[in-house]
Amino acid sequence: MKEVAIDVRDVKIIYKLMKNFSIQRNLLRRDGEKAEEFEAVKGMSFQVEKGEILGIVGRNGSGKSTLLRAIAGVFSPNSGTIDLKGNSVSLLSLGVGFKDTLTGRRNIYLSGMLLGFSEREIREKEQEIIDFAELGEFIDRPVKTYSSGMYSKLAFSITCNLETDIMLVDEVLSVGDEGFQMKSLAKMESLIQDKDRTVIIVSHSIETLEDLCDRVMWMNDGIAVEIGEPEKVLKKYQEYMTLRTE
Amino acid sequence: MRFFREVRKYWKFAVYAAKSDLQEEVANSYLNWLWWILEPTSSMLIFVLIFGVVFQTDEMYFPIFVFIGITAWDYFSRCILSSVDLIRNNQHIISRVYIPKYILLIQRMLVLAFKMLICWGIVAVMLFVYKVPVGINLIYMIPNLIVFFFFCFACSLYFVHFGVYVTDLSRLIAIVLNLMFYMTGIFYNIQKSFPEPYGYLLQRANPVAHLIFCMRKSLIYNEVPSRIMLGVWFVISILLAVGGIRLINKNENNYVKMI
Repeated sequence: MKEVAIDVRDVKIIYKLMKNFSIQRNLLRRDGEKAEEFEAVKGMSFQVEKGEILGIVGRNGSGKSTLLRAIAGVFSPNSGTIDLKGNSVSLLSLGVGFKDTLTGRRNIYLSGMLLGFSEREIREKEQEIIDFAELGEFIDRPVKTYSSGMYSKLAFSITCNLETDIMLVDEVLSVGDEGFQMKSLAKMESLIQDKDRTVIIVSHSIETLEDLCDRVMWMNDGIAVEIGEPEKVLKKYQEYMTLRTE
Repeated sequence: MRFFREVRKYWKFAVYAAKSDLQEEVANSYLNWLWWILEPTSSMLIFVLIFGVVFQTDEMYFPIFVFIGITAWDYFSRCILSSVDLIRNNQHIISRVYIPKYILLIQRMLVLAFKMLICWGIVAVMLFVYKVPVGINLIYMIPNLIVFFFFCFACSLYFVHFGVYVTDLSRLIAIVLNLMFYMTGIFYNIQKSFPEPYGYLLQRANPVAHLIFCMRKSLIYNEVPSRIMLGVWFVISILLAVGGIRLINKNENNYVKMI
C-alpha cells in the first residue's frame, strides 16, 4: 500500500445556525431564538494516498467545501480526526489578506505569510511570482491602481507559486484575459499532476474531474455516497442528477 | 504550550502585518503620520485649556500629567474597541486560512503600540522642555508598561470572543469606556479629588487608573510606584490572559461558522 497523505476518520462538522445575540434585540425581547444545529458533514471517513488526485462531486450544499475547509484547517471538525501526516496544506484561494493601498510586492509577502510560508521562502519565490503575474513595474504600485485582471493575475500567481504538499482546490481556477486564462489553467494542471503532490479538487465540472482525477468521491447530504474510479462514480452521479431534474 | 508555539510561528506575520497596517493608514490619510501626533496633542491641549486655565488646577506639570494619562488611556481603549470587532473585520482572512485568533489581536496591539511609542517620545520632549527633574525611578516605566500590555491583552481577549456572538457589543463598550474615562483620572488626580478612603481605593481598584498613577509617579515625581500593587496586577493580568487564551482556543472553531 502506498503512503497515506490524508487520513479522515469519522469526521462530523456541525454548524450552529444561531442568529447573533444582540443586546438591543434581547432587551426588547423581539426574539428568543435558540441555536439550531445543522450537520454539514455526517461522519465521513476516507484516505488519500500521497500523489493521488481525489475529486469531490456533489450538488450544492452537500458539504464539499465545508469538508475541504476542515482539511485545510480553517476550522476543526466537531468530532473525528483529520491527519495530514505532517504534510503542508493550502486551500487555493485568491488574494488572501490583500490590502489595496499597499504595493503588489508587499501584498506578495503579506498573503504568502498568511498562507503559512516564511519570509525566506517567499523571497526565494518572489521573482517567479512577479514574472508569472506579468505585472512588470506595476508590482511596486498600490494594488488599488490595478485593473481587475491585473489583480487576479497577481493573486493567482501568489497562490500557485507558493506550493504545498497537499493542495485543496475549490473549482479549478483560470483568471485574467484569454492568454492568461490558458497559462493559468496550464499552471493549475501542472501543479495538480505533479506526482509528489496530493490534491483534492471540488468541482461541478464532470469533464475536469474525469480528466484530472485518479478517484472521485460523490458527496450528498454530508456523507460519501460512493468513492472509486472516476468514470463509474461520475456516471452514477450524473444519473442521480438527471433523475432529480426530471 | 500551544500559545507560545503559535506566537513564535506567527510572530513575523504579526509584525509584517502591523507594519502594513501602519503603511496603509499613512497612505490613506492626507496628513499621514502627523495624525498620530496631532490627535493626542489636541486632546491634551483641550484638557489643559479647560482644567489648567479655566478651572486653575494645582497639579504639577499639568500638561505632562494629562498627556501621560491620554497616552495610556488611548492605548487601552483602542485595544478594547478594536478587539470587539476583530473577528468580523478579519472575516476575509479567517474564513480562508487558519490563523490563531489572538495573533490578529497581537497584530492590532503592535499597531497601537507603535502609535503609543510616538506619544511617549512627545512625553520625553515635554519632560525636557518643562525641566522636570527625572531620576532613577524612571526605570519603573519598564515593569509598568509590561504589566499594562499584559492587562490590555488579557482584557481584549475576552472582547475578541464575545464580540463574535454579540453584534452590538461595541456600542455598549463605547458607553462603558466613556464612563471609565472619567473614572480613571486622565485629567485629574483621583486620590485628591475623592474623600479618603474612596480616592485611595478607587485608584487601586481600577487597574488602568493605578497603572497611569504609577507611570506619573516614576516619570514626573521621581517616586517609586507600589511594587506590591504592580505585582498584584501583573498576576491578575496573567491569570486573566490564561483564561482568555483558553476561551479562544476552545471556541475559535465556531467563530468561522458564526460569521
